[in-house]
Amino acid sequence: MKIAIRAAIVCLLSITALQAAERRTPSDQGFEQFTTPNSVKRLDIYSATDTRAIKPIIEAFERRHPYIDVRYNEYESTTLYNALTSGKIKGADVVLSSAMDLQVKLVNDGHARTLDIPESIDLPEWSHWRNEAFGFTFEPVVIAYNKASFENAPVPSSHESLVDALRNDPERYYEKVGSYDIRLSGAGYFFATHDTVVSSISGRILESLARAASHTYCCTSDMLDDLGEGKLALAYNVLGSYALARARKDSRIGVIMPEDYTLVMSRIALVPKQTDNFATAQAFIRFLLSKEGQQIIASKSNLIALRPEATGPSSIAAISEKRQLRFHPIKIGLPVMTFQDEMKRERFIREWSQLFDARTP
Amino acid sequence: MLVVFLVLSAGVWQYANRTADLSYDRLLTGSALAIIERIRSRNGQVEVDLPYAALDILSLAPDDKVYYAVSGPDKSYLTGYKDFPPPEHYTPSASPVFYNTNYLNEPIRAVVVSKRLDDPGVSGWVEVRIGQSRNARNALSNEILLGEMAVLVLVITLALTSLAFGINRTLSPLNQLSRSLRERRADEMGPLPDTDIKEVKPLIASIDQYRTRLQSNLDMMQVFIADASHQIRTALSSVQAQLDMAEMEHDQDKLQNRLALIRNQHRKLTRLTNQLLTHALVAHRRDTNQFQQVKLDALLSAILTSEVRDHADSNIEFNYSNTHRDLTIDADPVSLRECLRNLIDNAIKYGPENNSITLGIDVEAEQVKIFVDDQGPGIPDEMLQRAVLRFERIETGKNTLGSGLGLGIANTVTEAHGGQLHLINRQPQGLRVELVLPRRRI
Repeated sequence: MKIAIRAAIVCLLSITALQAAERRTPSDQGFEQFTTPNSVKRLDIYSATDTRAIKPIIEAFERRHPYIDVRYNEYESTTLYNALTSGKIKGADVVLSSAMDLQVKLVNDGHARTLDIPESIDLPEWSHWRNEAFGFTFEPVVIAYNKASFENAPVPSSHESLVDALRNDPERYYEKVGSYDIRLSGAGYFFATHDTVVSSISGRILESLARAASHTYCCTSDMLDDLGEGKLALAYNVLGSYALARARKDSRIGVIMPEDYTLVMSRIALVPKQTDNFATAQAFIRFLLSKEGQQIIASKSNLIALRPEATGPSSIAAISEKRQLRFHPIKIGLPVMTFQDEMKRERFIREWSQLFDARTP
Repeated sequence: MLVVFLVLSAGVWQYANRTADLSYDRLLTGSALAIIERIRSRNGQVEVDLPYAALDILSLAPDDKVYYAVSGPDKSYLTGYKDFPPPEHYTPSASPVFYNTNYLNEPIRAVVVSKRLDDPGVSGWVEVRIGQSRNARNALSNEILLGEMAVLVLVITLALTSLAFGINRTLSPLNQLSRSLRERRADEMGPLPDTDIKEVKPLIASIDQYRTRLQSNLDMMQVFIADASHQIRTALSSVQAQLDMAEMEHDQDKLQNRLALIRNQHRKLTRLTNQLLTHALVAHRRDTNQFQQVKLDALLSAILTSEVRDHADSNIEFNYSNTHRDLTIDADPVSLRECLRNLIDNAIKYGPENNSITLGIDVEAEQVKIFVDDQGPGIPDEMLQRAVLRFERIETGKNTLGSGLGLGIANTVTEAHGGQLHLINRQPQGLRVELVLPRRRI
C-alpha cells in the first residue's frame, strides 16, 4: 500500500510540474545577446514592401543593434513567393509581404519557423497565426480620387454608391477609373477576391469597373501618380497606407474609406525555415511588433502601425479621426488561402479577364 | 492499486483521444462535404469552386494546418496539394472515411469522401481528401486527460486514505490485544478483556483457550517437579540414614542387612533417575517430531531380546505374539522403545516371581495395537483412569520400586503418536497395557 500511495504522490507532483511548465514566462526582450561586438551578424530581409516605406524601421533597428548588418531585398509579392518556394532564394532570414494569402500558405506548407513573442507584446487577435505569421501593419483598402474631378459632384462614399455613380454618371468615369490588374498584382488579386467574401455586390463592382473601361495597374504608386496628374478621377482598392501618405504631400489627391466596409489588411512578417540567423531574425520581428517599433511605423514611415496605442500621422487613431469607420480586418489564418486554390484562382482570373479584356479601350 | 491506476489511466487516455478525434472529425467532414458539393461538370470538364467556408470551418481549430486534394474521375488531379496521400485500400463511397497519415513531416488526421458524377462526357467518382494537423486535437485530448487524471488521482487518494483509515480502525482491537498481552504479568491468569469487534472475538477465545492449556501443563510440571524432588530426597535421605546406621553397625550379619537395604534404595534411585531422564527424553522428542518409518517386528524383537538377556537369572517367562512380520508404522523408534521397555519393566516389577510377560501386536484397520500382558495383580477398576497420570502410584500394598512414571512415559509417547493408551484388567489375572497407534501420521 505504501508503494501505491507513493505512486499517487508522484503522479500529483508530475501534474503540478506540467502546470508549472505551461506557465513559463518568456523574457520580455531578447536583444541582449547582440550587444557584444564579437562579430557582425547579417540579417537578410526579403520583402514585398516599398524600400522607402520600411527604411525608418530598419534604420532604427540597426541603431539599436549596431552589430547587425541588415540587407534589404525588395521583390514583387508573387515573385517573392515563387522564388522562396522554388528555392531560388537562399539564406532569407525574414520575409515581409502584403500578400497575406501567400504568407499564410508559406506557413501552412511548413516554410516558417515558430517564434517566441513575449506576452507583453499585445497584438490583436486577428493579426497573427500559429506563432509563425505576424501582421505588423494596419492598412485599410481605400478609394483614392482626384479632388479636381469631383468639384461639382459628390465623391462616392461606399461601394454601393460607387456602383451607382459608375452607372449613373458614365461620362465622368469613362476611362478615368483605375484599379489593380489582378494578374500582375498579388495585392490586387487579394483585394478583389476578398471583396467577394465580404460583399454581395462585388460582382457588380467588377462589371461596372469593366464597363467604365478602367485602366489596370500593377501598383498603387502608379495609380496615385496618374491620379495626381488628373489622368484618373478615381482609383479603386488601393493601399491605404500609400494613398494616405501621398495625400498628405499631394493636395490634389483625396482618400475615401468606404462607409459600408473598409477591408483592412496587414503586412505579414515571418521567419523562413531556411534562416541561419534565427535569433537575429526573431529579434527583428520582436522589434517590429514592440512599442518602439510600432511607434516608429506610426510616426516616421508611410505604413500604418498595427497597435492602436502608437501615435503619429500613421496611426490608427490618426486615420480614423472624425469618422465612424467600419474596418473589416482580414484575419490571418487558413481561410485567406481559399483563393490560392489553383482551380479557384484560374477561374477567378478567367472571369476577371473576360470582363476586362472585353472593355473598349 | 498502482495497477488499477495504470489501467484506468490507459482507459482515460484512450477516451480523451477518441473524444478529441470525434469532435474535430466533424469539422473535417463538414469541410469535405462543403467542397464536394461544389464539384460540377461543365462542358465535359470537372470543376471545383473551393468554398470559402471549407477552410473557414477548419479554422475553428485555430492553430492547425490544412491540406486538401481534389481528384476527378480516373484519379486525375484537379486542385489542391497534388501529393496529399490517400488512405490505403480505399473504395470510393459517399460516406466519409477517416484515416491518419503524414504530410510535410507532420502527423495528419484526414478524411476522404467521394461523389459519383454521371454527366455527359464525365462519368466516375470524384474524390475530396482533406487533412488537418493535430494541434487542436492534442490540446483537447490533453485537456480532457488532465481533467480526468485529476479526478482519478483524487478518487484513488480518497480510496487509499479511507482504506488506511479502515485498516487502522479494524486493527486497533488487535493492537489493544497485543498491548494487554504485553503488559500482563507472566503468572496473571484469567481471560483477556472482551472486544466489540466480531471478527476478533474468536482470536481472543483461542488465545484464552491456549493459555488455559498452557497453564494446566505448567501446573502438571509443577506437580511433577515437586513429586520428583520429594521422591529423590526421600530416597537420598533414606540411603543416608542407612549409611549412617551401617557405619555404627559392628555385627557382620546386620551390616550385610543394612547394605542390602542401601542397595535396594540405590536401585530405586537409579530407576527413578532413569525414568525421569527417559520422560524428559520422550517429551523432548515429542516436541521435535522425529518421526520415520519403523519396522515394528524388528523393534519389538530387539526390545524383547535385551529384556530376556537382562532377566536371564529370573523365573520370568517372556512371550512374543506377532503375525505381521512386515508391518511398518510412522513412529519415533527411540520414544517407542523407551516406552515399551518401561512398560515391560513395570510388568516385571509389579508381577509375581514367576511372571509371564507377553509382548504382541494386533492390527485393526488403520490402527496398530501394541500390548504388554503380565500376570500381576492388575489395577482396581476404579483406579484405571488415574493410573495413567504420572506419579499416581497404584496402591497395591506391595513393596516395590514403583514410581508410576512408567505409565506416564507411555501416555506421553502414545499422545505424541496421536494414539491412545488403554489399561485393561485381564481375566482371571493380570493387566494388559495397550498402545493404540495410527499406522500413518495424519
